Amino acid sequence: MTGGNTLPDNLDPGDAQNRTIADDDAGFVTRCRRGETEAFSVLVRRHQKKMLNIAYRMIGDYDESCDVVQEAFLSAYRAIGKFRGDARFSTWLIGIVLNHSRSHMAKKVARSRHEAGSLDDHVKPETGSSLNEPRSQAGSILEQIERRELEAKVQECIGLLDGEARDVLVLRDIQGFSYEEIGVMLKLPEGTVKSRLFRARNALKDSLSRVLGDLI
Amino acid sequence: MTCNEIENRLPAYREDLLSPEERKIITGHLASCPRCSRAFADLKKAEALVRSLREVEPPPFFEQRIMSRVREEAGKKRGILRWLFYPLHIKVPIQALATLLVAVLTFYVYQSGDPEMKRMAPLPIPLTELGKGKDTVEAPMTLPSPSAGTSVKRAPAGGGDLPEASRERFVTPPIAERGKEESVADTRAAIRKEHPSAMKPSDPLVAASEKEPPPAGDAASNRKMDTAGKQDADKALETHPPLQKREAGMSDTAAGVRESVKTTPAPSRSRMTAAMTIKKRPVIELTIRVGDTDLAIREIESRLARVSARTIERQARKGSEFLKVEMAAQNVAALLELLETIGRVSLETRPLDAPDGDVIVNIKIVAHP
Repeated sequence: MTGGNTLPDNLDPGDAQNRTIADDDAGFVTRCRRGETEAFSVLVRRHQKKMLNIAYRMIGDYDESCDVVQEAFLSAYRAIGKFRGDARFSTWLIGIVLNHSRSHMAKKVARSRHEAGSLDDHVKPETGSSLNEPRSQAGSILEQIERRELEAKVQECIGLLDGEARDVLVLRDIQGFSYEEIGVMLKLPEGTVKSRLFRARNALKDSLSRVLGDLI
Repeated sequence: MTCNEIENRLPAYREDLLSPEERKIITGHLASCPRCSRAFADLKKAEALVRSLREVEPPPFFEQRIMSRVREEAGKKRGILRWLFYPLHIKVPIQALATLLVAVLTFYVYQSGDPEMKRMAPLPIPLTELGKGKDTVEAPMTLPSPSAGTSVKRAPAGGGDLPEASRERFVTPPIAERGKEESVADTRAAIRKEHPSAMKPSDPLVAASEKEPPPAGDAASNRKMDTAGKQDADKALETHPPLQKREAGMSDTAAGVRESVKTTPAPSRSRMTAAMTIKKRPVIELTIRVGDTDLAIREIESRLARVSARTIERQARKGSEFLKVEMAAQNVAALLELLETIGRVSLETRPLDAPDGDVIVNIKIVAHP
């Protein structure tokens, strides 16, 4: 567990970058707590992309992710007086984004239950039409389309994971946080984070195999 | 270890988090089992696909959109805080100014309201209350106008030697001269109309002649007198008849009281007060030293009728008696002769130059063994 702005020794290089940011964040957080609204814009500028990507991988919809991140920043601003500095600001902010994302997904699932169609119905035709189609044209545009479609399939498979597995997979395999940081964000022991991550990886492999066929 | 168990451990195997024994078993199994080997390859491919996901970029003006919401939120928060807790450097001067304004207004209202309070006519005292008094109340020599109410003086609580100015509050009742009886009657009718509760059913003047005088010489009565002195002169006029002493041969209203009562237009509720003015009469002060004051005062009172005098006030103070007598000025000499037969008389004021009209004689009876 991190205490204040100190970091554990076994952090990966990505964490080292976060530590630098966290050190800078502390001053702006203090200014925000004093009522300087403009200091918050610095924090938004620094973390907006990471927060958007986390939300996007959790939700799978770009526009909805933007809305969720916006609400998450607003919540962070409202609650910044309660931020005690026990963890880095980015860690605290990611926790807020994850909560908003989960809440959004829960609402979305509740809505989708009333609608016809499932992920398989939606994905399978696209899979057949895009991945099994012979390349008639060479060129970057087709490759970009294929890549975009592949990413969409992966994203959809991520979305098929249960919430707990998706959290750790996004935070570890996409965002590159350490087990310790993920434990802080999710308020879980490291062992639980690892077991959830391994289960998520196996589930994603199975899901991708079903969607894409032979992965190799 | 089955293939499923091996497959479940593959992520940990890839992270190198297994024990050496487990790792050795899985490594051997992967080399011999194509299914598990393929699963391991899929796992690595899936991880590679996830890691290869490109980052999305925030939309244009995303920061501005967020900050717009944040500023809006901050404005609300600040507005509420400002409304609840205004900055002290603004709040304190405003409160100080408000306090000062209230103080100035209070002072102004007090100053401007005080004369109004003074101009207000005092409430009438019920006749029954004043009738209990043992002193005789005199009507004022000159009834004060409403605006002159502040000049009304009170009788000293225990002073036998009342100053002349104070005594003016305690003059004889305004029994009008025959020629002015009609105007007085009109005034009384007005009084009855305005203060029916303060009037007795019968004519106060008649009732006064029938009423027994209250016992004199009570110090408490002086306090009553003091209270009565606060009242307006019209009440003194009204309350006087029941308080009159009726001595034999002295109660006749024609006996010697000659007052000039004038009626004036009544501009306010103290109409009857402003309606009358009474002519001032001279006062003679004398002291008589006797052996027994009680005996002496009885003798004096019994002989007053001979000189057509009547007692209008009697008080006892500090071992001496005080008697206030009203009589014709021309009979003063006869009164002095009478008193000489009772005790040693000393005249405190100089004799009247022109013995005409009515006078007030204050007789102080002092025990002198």
